[in-house]
Amino acid sequence: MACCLEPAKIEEKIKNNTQSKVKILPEPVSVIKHPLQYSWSLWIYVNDKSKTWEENLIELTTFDTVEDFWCLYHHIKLPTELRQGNDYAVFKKGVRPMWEDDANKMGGRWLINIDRKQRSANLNKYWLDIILLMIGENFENSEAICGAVVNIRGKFDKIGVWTGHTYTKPVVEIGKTLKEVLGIQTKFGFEVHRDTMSKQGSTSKFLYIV
Amino acid sequence: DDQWSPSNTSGKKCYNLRLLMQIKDDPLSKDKPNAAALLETWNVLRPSPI
Repeated sequence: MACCLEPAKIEEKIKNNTQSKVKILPEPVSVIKHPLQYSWSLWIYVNDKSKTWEENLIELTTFDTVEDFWCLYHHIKLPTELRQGNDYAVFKKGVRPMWEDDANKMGGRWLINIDRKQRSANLNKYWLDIILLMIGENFENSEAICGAVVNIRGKFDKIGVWTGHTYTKPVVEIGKTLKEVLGIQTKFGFEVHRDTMSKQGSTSKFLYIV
Repeated sequence: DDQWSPSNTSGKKCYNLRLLMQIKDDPLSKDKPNAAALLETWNVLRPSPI
């Protein structure tokens, strides 16, 4: 009985108990996150009429591991939950989601229009799949990718996948991969930023179509 | 192959969609982001996580 043990033996018993507790602790959990090839920034465009276009574009945060991307994904609104007039953009860190940025000015974008009627079915899924394709380096020519933008608008939502140049082979591969992975049945086109900047009408000519 | 993993940290940092979706449900993928305050300021923080 414990009450009959000498103090030294009681101490030994406590020590043994403590040791046995230490032994049953679980193995340390691995906290190594999966690093991404690039760091990426999440931007939001808010449509405040009292501010300039650039002032409305805010870099919210950056991530450089798969797990940190998912932490963000789990805690932010889906594209369908944003206000009309808002954009999300995910770009390689250091590249601003605007034509004027040095990384973008010689490039263009694959432009996917999403009819309002398809919004609930496709918009969030396309946006997530495009981000996963980018951050996981799933394009053969992923070095050509600058980022992607989703525009929440009245009639048509738009998703643009931006490239830093317009060379046929890599850009068309990116378009074909998008079409295949997203499962898009209709055709969509690639616009050159310089053409879009200087366009007079409401439509600009596509350089490539897939 | 030469894909990055905890036991091959010099491998290529390429992850297909299936692997990325598996990591989605890892406890490390559920934490509140560091930028939560800024996300809230710009009204993009969800009231509750997905």
